[in-house]
Amino acid sequence: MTEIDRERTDALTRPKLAFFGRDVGAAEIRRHLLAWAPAVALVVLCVGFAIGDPQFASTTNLRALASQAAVPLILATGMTFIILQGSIDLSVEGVMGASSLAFALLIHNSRTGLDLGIVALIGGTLLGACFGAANGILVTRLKIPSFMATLGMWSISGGIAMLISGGQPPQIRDMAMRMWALGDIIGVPHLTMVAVIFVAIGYVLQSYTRFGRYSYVVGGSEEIALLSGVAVNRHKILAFTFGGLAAGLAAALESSRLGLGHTEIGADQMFLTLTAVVIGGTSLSGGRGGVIQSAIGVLILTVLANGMIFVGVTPYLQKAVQGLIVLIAVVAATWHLRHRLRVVK
Amino acid sequence: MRAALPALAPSVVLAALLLGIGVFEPSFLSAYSLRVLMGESSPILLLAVAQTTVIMLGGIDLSVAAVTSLASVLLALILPGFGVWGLALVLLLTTAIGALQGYIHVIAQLPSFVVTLAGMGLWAGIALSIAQTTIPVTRGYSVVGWMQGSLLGIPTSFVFAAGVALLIWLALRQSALGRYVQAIGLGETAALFSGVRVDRVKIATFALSGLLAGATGAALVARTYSGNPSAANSLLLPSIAAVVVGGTAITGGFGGIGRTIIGVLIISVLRVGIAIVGIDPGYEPLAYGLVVICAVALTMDRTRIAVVK
Amino acid sequence: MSDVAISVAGLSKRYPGIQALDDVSLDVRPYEVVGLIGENGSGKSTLLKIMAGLVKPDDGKILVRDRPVMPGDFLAAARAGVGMVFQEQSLLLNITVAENILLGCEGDAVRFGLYDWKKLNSLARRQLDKLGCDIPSDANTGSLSFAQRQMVELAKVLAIEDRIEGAPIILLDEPTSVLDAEEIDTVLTQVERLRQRASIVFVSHRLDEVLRVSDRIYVMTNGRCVAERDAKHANVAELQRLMLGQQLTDEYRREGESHVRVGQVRLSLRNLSSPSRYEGISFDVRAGEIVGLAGVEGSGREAVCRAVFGADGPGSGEILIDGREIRVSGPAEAVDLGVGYVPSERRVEGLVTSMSVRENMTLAHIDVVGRGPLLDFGRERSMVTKWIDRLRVRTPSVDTLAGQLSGGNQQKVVLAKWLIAERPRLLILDHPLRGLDVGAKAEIFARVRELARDGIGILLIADTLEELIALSDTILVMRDGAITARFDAGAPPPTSLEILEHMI
Repeated sequence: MTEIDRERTDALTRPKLAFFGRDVGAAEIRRHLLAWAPAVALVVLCVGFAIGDPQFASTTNLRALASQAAVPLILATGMTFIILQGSIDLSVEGVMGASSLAFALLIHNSRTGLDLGIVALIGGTLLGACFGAANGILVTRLKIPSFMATLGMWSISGGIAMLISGGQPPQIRDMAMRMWALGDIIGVPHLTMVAVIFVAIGYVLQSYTRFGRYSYVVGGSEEIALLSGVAVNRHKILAFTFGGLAAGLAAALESSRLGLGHTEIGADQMFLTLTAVVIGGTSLSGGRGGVIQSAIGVLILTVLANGMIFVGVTPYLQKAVQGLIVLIAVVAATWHLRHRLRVVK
Repeated sequence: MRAALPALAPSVVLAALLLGIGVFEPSFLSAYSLRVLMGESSPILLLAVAQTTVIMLGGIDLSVAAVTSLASVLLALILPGFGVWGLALVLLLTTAIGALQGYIHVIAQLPSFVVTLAGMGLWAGIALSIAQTTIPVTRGYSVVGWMQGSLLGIPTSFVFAAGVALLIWLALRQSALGRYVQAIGLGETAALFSGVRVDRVKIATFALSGLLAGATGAALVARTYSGNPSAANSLLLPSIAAVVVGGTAITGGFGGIGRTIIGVLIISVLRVGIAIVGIDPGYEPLAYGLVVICAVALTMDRTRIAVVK
Repeated sequence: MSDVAISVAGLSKRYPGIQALDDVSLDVRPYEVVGLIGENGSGKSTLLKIMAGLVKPDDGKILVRDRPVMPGDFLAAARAGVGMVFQEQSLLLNITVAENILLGCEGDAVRFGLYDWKKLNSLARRQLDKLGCDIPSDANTGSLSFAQRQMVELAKVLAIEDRIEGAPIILLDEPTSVLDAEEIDTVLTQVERLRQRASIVFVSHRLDEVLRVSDRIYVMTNGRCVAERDAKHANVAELQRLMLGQQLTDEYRREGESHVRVGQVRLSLRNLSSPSRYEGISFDVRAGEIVGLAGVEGSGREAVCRAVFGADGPGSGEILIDGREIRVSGPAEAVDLGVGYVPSERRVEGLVTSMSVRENMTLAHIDVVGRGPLLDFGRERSMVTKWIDRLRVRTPSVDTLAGQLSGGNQQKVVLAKWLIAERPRLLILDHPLRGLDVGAKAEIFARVRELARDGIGILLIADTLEELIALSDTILVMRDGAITARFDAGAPPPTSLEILEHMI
């Protein structure tokens, strides 16, 4: 039985409740509950940790939280459009490494004689975008499933990063850039501001542009999209490019903060981003969710990570917890789609 | 009906590589270096065999490397106290892990790459929280140490890995289970409608993958005299690369262990060859990524995938 | 100005093993409703899809307002003003109503890639107003009821009107099949209203609906257009007769077997129910008896068969095999209990087309070729060869890939799969003659009768009523999920008309 058939059966058998004048069924109520759950969870977590240890809510710690959330917020925004379309990007870490090196070598640094300032930032970001575009082309032209293509690209971009770095991380000597990256304004770190602006841009894209709206369409049903004349391939490439761009930007910013270009600058970010997007409410099968949801997911994970330190849980266990969370979230989201004859590879 | 690649192509590639490198650096073809090559490829061979069976179903196991790392850490901790029983326990555990992933894949009907991706994080995280750095094996090394010997001049680890590969090859070809795996890969719906217990076959295959990952962990401990939580990180992609380069299609059904063995040899030759010819080893990850992408693009059966996500 | 909105001529389409359409021609005049009726598999859906440009015909032409339209090009068809409302809804549930209605043709509501929501909503509002519909443009499509979404689908199709000159051509493929009475009425009223602004082709298997809204009616059967009638003066009985198709060939005719040798009860269904699909189904199938289920799509007969095989779960009720109550959670259990299933989707459900004949035949009962844990290839080969001879399967060798055989031979392989071990208790045949040529049909027909003589209980769903009458001993008629009539073995066989009465 297809999903459509099941919906038809649902339609005939579910109780019709009147709710604000519209017929609302059990599926609708479940959807609303699920939509609000992450936000509620975030509030509960914050309150819980604050009660557990008042230090959690101190300005120093809040500032630290904001700082920790900057890079994941940017990455999650980029990843959201890819996942909305029903694809996935596993290459973030490698792309970040390569972009970090490129940025560090273009700006005033210990290895090359270049001193391109802000242009270096643009360069690093653009390199990320190029990797993203490559991902998009592999998926659309060569028809390689996205998890496989981006798995390969992870290795390729990581390899390129290592080659550029040559074993010696270049130190960034552009003091203006470094100071800005470490500084803040009215208590909010500059990088976090950039992240928030990026999320806002993402929101505008998702709600007011063809790229954003059609990402939902492609994720909802690629066949229907094709039948309606939507340029599916073009939008897929755009989404992967945007994801790569986000990775490049995040890498450049993080490099500024750390003061060097590093191949491992993206370590563990792929998992973190994926987990954040999934628990925020963006479904891995595509078509549901959004940038704000992913942002909430990032905040939940950041607060969790931060709070766990207060409680004394080692950071290594966090990766395990993230894996578990992804599993639980995805199972919960797709449980209702199960059927005896469904083929899942 | 298309076969993945003309079956001969990978063998030709292997021969060409050997010849090419041999011309460049004749000492490469010496008995000694070939022996080193074989010893090097044992872990990848074991993992690639694990991956082959899962890929023939049409799925993939992204967690093999993480499970291997976990196994190596556990072995380093448990061998001193429990010897052979420790090994058995760890292997049992990794098999259970594989079975669990298969079970979730089947019960929740989640794509295998999602389940094993989550698993990858979970098991790697657990391994890291148990041990942050290398743990030397103080006692009980002999339980796995035998793999470092050699049998008639061939490294025992390679004999072991090849033996395992042979066993599984036989099983796939000559047993009902093997027939079922192929049927599921080529036509899962028809297999279901023929009464094949698809669920059980899938769980069994993933359990096997877990078992082999555990064995790989033992092989690594044998080689390095220690356990390390990041030991196998660099092995995931080569194991997948070996399978696809050998000619097994990720769409499922076509291919097999024989092809994988050739693929493993190609990958190992690539690895060792790069160093010998003088190319920066930093090019390795680049090469693997390119190889995987090209091989998948060439071997996929696109007629069986309607929509590519 | 021509007198024809859309016309198709000489359309043919062949799928592997099936001639879906055979030299079909029809035309639709401006502002008229043309009804298309026929049994399952008569080609109605394929015809509509070709007209909408979704399927490319092997032969034939399409003319819209006297201008040729490239067959198989749905964008060209859309540009010419042809829109289709599918049997499976084509709306996206995760975007708003307005977005769905204007998907792909937002016009200047989206400029330089930026959305002007107010404009988009008002453009959509315009379409909805044509239907007199009060669904808000900015509603999330997923929150609407099925019937409301049907309205949105109509509005989406109507949007074509604003993009072309002249009236659009709207193709409706079974728009009412899952609606309740009230909703059906709404949809039919809409269709009647729409006649003023469009030309419509209306497909439904419910004769009364088609008669209500159509001006003219075409009858299709076996891929051919066999009649055209004026709806006002149509004779219902004549239409029903026309839908039934060609005359029986001699091979089909029931032999004068007045008494069927039957044995114990193989299958017993007691009060089997699955919410909204079927209810209170109870009947028996005895050894050596062929029970045929008659009914149109949606009558529930396929669902019942699949429930017996474990491919779908029944909600409640009992299934007994050889007197023992069983709970099947999947086909595997059913197979263990000696049930076989010959599915209608041969290439997807019946065979693994990329595996050999030999491997397919032994897939269900592979233990018969095993020796210990391993397979005995020699034994496998000889068993398979035996059955190839027995059923006269025409194949170059046992190792030929199953997908390369002709339809009839593929079906024989599927049958052999269930017979290769010990005799099954019960065999369920779901449209076993579908897509086979006359010769193959006769052969399979003979085999099935043989199987019954051997004492296997058979549950049968046939494509056409003649096949059903010719093959079955007992006939049960289902409609809307319940058994409405029963024609027992031994009594004189019913005529198609008698059965049809209870089907529709």
